[in-house]
Amino acid sequence: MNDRMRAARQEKGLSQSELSKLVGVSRQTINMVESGEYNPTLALCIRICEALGCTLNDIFWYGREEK
Amino acid sequence: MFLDERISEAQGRTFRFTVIFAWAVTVVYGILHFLMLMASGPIPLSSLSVELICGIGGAVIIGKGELSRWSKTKDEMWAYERNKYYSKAFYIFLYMLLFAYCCIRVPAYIVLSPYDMPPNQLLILLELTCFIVLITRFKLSDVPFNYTFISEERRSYAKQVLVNVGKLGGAILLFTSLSFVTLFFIGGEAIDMLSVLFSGLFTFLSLSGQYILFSVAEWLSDRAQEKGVISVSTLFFFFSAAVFAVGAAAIGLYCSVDNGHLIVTSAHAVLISSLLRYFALMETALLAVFAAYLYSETGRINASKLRRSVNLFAFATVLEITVSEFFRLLSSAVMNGQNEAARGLFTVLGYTNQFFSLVFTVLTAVAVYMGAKALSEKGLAPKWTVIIPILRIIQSAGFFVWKIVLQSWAATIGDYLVVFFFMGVYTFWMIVGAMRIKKLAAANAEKEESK
Repeated sequence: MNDRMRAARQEKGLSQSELSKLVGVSRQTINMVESGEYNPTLALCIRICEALGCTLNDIFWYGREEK
Repeated sequence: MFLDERISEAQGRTFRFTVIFAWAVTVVYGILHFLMLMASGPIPLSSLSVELICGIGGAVIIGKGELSRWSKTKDEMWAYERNKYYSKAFYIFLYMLLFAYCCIRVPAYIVLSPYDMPPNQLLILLELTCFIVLITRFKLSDVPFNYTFISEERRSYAKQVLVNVGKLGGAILLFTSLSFVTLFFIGGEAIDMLSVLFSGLFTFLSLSGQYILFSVAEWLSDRAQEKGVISVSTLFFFFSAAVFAVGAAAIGLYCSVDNGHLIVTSAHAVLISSLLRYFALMETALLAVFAAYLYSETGRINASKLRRSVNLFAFATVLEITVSEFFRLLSSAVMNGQNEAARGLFTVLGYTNQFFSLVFTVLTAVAVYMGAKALSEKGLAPKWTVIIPILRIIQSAGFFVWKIVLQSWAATIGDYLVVFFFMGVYTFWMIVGAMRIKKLAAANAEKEESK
């Protein structure tokens, strides 16, 4: 589960549908990235971070303790 | 700009499977068609044009796809390049099929070889089976229909759908024109060319109607999926399947009760047989579509078990449609033999076909059992509903034993009445399930808000 991505999206007041339009993917893809069912490529991670105004570390980096 | 890597990958994988499946069906169909033609005299090459062109062309496409070195090692890049290739190869195979059908098979059938079976049998078989394969695999991969614009508002969505209908019309016009031109050059009469034009118009109306229907269903389903409820479109597909099942049962019941008085000529028998076959195909296809949509809207709840159930259902449905068509072809080939041995073999083929129907009924009932169990585990269906598929297996096995093994026709009426009973129970189960999913979605939403 990517709780940080969900939290960042909710902080920006965006629904999954709205974020998907900003990133240029389907709502289902955003849902699957947030629920951990899909591993995005680096390119998609960057687009998501740009839409949320965050860095890759903020959303997609996992430290040893989190793993 | 819309660029969804997940959907591109799912599309590539699905198209690869569909091309290989369609090619395999075309090759087997071609062999059986050849046997059928061989039994009735000299074989015009045009009769096998679709099978030959798609068989050879498909082999080249699949050979390149499977044997090429897409990268130095078999890694993600390999899979990515191969998927990209098949995303284009699918359309090449489709255009090859349509070109062979429109430019060679149909004009040749009209002008040169009228003693062959109707040329659209293979096309209908591929359309139905590949449609079930595509919709099941896309729904299981969570890829919506019209994915580039499904999230648009109603008006904008409708506009895009109409643009696509226009593109479809353009493609049909192109292929109809090619057919028209070929007919003109091989000496077709005015009435033949008029029939091609009407066929093209009818095809456009039929396909665009289906596309609009599915576009509406998909828009409703996408909104329902977001809320976690069952959509009206999913219920519509189920009830449509029920209508065809009950319709077929009603016709069969009337013929049985009437002691065959309805069938006064062989033309009536052919008409009723075709109608029953059409109803059965529509029921099967709509149930497969319903299963795919149901997974799409409830799959998050018990994903792996529901996925297995839907996969098995689609597999059994596609196999049933394909095998019954192959048996029909083989029976035609055998009947052309016109001797005692051929008649005996024809009877054996008939019983074997009935046996395979029983096997497929068991497979689909097992799939429904797995799905019912998966949904009832999460409180989305009453627990007692898992008994229904088991009763269906007993009913089909009983029918097989009575009618085929014991040669008793008395069970026929009871069999059709049981179909009415099962459709009633399935309908009740669906209504209860839909209400429970709505309640569960509301409870989940409350839980999320309280967090």
